[in-house]
Amino acid sequence: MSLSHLAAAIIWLAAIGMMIVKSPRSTTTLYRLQALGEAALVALSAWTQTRPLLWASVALIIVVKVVVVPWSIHRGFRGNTPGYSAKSPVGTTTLLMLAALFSAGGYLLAELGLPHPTASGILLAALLVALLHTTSRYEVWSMLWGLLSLDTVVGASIGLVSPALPATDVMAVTLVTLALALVLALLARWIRAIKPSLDVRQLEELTG
Amino acid sequence: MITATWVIPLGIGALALISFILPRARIAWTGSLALFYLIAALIAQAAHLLTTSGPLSGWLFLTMAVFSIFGLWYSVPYIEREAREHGWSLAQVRIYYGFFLIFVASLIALGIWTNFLYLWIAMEVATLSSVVLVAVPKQSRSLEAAWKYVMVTEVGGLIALLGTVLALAAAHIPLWSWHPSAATASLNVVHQRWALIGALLALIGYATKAGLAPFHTWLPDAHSEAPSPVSALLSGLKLAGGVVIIYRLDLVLSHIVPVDVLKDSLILLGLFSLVVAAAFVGFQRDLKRLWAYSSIEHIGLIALGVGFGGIALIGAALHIWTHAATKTLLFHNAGTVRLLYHTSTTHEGARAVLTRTPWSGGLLALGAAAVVGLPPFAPFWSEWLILAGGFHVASDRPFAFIAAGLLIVIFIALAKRIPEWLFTPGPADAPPRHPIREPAVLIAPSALLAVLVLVGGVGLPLLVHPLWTQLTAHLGQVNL
Repeated sequence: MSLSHLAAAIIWLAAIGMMIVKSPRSTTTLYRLQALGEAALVALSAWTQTRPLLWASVALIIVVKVVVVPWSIHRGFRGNTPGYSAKSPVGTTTLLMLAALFSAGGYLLAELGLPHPTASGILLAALLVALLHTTSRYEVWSMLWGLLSLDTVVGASIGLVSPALPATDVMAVTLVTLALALVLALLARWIRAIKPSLDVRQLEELTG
Repeated sequence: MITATWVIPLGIGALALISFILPRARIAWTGSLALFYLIAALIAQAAHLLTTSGPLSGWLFLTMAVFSIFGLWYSVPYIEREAREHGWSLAQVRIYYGFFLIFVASLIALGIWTNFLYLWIAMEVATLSSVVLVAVPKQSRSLEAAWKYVMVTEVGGLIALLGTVLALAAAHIPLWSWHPSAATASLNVVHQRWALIGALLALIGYATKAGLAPFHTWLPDAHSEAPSPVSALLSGLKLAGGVVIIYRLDLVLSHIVPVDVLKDSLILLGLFSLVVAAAFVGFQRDLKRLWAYSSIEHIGLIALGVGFGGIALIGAALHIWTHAATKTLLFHNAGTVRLLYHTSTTHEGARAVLTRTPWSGGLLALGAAAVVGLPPFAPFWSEWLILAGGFHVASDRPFAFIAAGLLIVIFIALAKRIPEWLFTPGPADAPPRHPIREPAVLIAPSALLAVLVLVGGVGLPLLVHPLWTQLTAHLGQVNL
């Protein structure tokens, strides 16, 4: 197994874990792990292609995704722990079976000729799992981590399919992630301020 | 000569940052400064002191700048009243102005930038800043709309990023290029396949941002719950920005992927958007929600114009302007109705608008007549060009017929619905209907917009004749 396969597998495993865990703390830990997987993929590009500027991108990914994003999301939810729950329209077993199905589909899709088919396949699998995550949970906190998981998977994927991606572009995409996380944290905080829980089924006034 | 690429977005972005530190009495000043900055930029563009990369960027800059100016102008009296009536805190006002300026800067960038990755960034900044603006009233409905908006469009945005990078990497087009030309390299089957998959993913992603059906689910909620100046910019400018990115991407990939797939996809999305608008527009009781569904119709028309190509493509470019003018007028008007009647829904009291508030009622009638495509208003000319382009090509003719039929359905639905706001007196036991004073500061921007709606269809191409000639020459050569 190459290092890129390992990094992609970490990202995929973390995506599955983030989808099924029921505690914000575990989700945060898994997100950090996923971000380290993305950073590892970029670091591999920096090392194999001898591109020193990419190391700055690696540092930025670590600072933003391992430190700042979890901190800002945690801050957004501070004092709201009683609002946490893990409601979903289907059970964990069903979610895992769907994840297995989607993962197989993603893996096979990459065999159509993507560069680095194994790593790309694992990342496509992670992408589908993250999409499943965003659509299969009812709580704001879990949905936002699903979106951030998808963001990390896409960030890792674009680095893999386009190895010549400039370091400045990687940094710009990472800063967009930071902006996304801050906006999500702000929204979650405002929702929690006017609603008794973080269940999106309480947000059903707009129809038609 | 100065290039607009960085000067305009960064200048407005700097003003946005300043608005976060100014004292309350001075916060609106940054909006006014941005307004004058944009006017100066437009004068510089007219005097050829400010350059953009190509006539399409020039046209989009003109459109984005003009209607951002109206948004900034209307924001000052609108937010002052909205904040007073709903008890906005200082932080809310500050957030509004700061993020509104960021939103305007990103819209200008969407118009003038040509690098695909930076276009994606501009679209993301536009989305995230407008999400905050939708949520800023901090009411249950606005937060619900903002949450749906961010979740749906951010998934779309990430899919768009992946698709764009995949397509460009497969086509060997450098991501860092600011002047990407159409890829002509002969690709093997595998790369062609991935370029097409990437293009389709990008199409889905940006169609979500543009609010094209069936990816439109966020749009009616976000447009109806946002403060009116934000709804106007969302509808008139940001949606069109999504379709323009799709157009630019299809253009550079047109030689290496089956171009009919891209064109047909846009035509299908456009038609589907018309179907959704036709199905829902007749049942809306909230004025802003009504115009939100109308936005789905018009972004569908722009997609159809790009898909048909030829003269319809020129129609689509003109429709970006004419729709922005009309929808800015209508959303500002709906905002005024909401402020004056404390609601914009008929069943809660927004009735007899023409007699109680003649200016607002008259502008509503004028805007509604324009938005359904009646001559001589501006949207008539661009819709005519789009449909004419569809009828011109035999293979597109059936789609043009369907589109024309759906436009007639939408016309009938709006013609049936609008009089409820304008004329219906209300239930017999309702309180007496006294005339309501209409503040000139709220009416003046809409009145000027009405002039643009009235004559802008043929007047603007005449007014900016050199730019329009360059644009039509440029688009006339495009063979998607």
